[in-house]
Amino acid sequence: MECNMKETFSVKDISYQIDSVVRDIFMTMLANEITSCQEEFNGSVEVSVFLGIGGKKKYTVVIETDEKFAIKVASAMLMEEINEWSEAVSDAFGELANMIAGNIKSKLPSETELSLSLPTVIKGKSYTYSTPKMKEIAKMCFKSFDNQKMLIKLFEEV
Amino acid sequence: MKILVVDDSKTMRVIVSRIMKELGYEVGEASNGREAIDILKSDSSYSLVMADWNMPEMNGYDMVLNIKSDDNLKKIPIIMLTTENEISNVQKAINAGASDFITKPFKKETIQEKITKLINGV
Repeated sequence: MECNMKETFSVKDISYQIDSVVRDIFMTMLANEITSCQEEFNGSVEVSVFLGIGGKKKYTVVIETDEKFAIKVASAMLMEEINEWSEAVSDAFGELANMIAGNIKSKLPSETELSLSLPTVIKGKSYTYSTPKMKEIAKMCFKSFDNQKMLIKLFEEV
Repeated sequence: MKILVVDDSKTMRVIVSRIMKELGYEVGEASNGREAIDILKSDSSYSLVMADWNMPEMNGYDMVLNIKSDDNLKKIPIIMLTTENEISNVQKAINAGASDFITKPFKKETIQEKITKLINGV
């Protein structure tokens, strides 16, 4: 199925595109399969990455997961065993998010050129965030590494 | 052949450098465009630069402009490594003097193919 995202897009279209982008990145850069999941992300959100996409219209990509998933991502990308949180894990998960957001950006409709911010990685528990003047247009759960989950949210300027 | 890998992400530098070494190249690393230019000015043995687009301090595009306006460095080919796969951005880098581009995610074979193409002047 080929979707033309440049003219107009629906939640179904963008969800399809995000799914395709994430599968491709995991397969190519992590040599690991990932699948989308219907169930809610019920783990503890311990790591979040925020990336802004700016242009005539603005978007925010938020990727959330637990510490274990981020460590697995870093281990797969760096091809070395990592067992605890470190700067290397933060950098690797931020880079993964950067690739995901960059590829989502290229699928978004825009009358002008869009630019992508550098990733901001937050590590911690029990924090809240808000995205004023934006609405959530996609929310997708993925599982990999023995059913561990990662959540991707896309917000669009209202 | 010595290649300078320029990316603000240490993870990406590790991945690209590992691929380059597997392909038999010697590798140096820089974490942004400014650092890359300093390295190129102090070490004339580099034959190719592979650079990210989106970096702090000096991004890939500004780095291309700087290298291509320097008489001592302008002959060094540059391949952009980027998630910015839209035609306008790619064209911008090519117009500024970049030789080619590779979009992330990438395969080892793609990198090999692009370098071979550059070396052979195809």
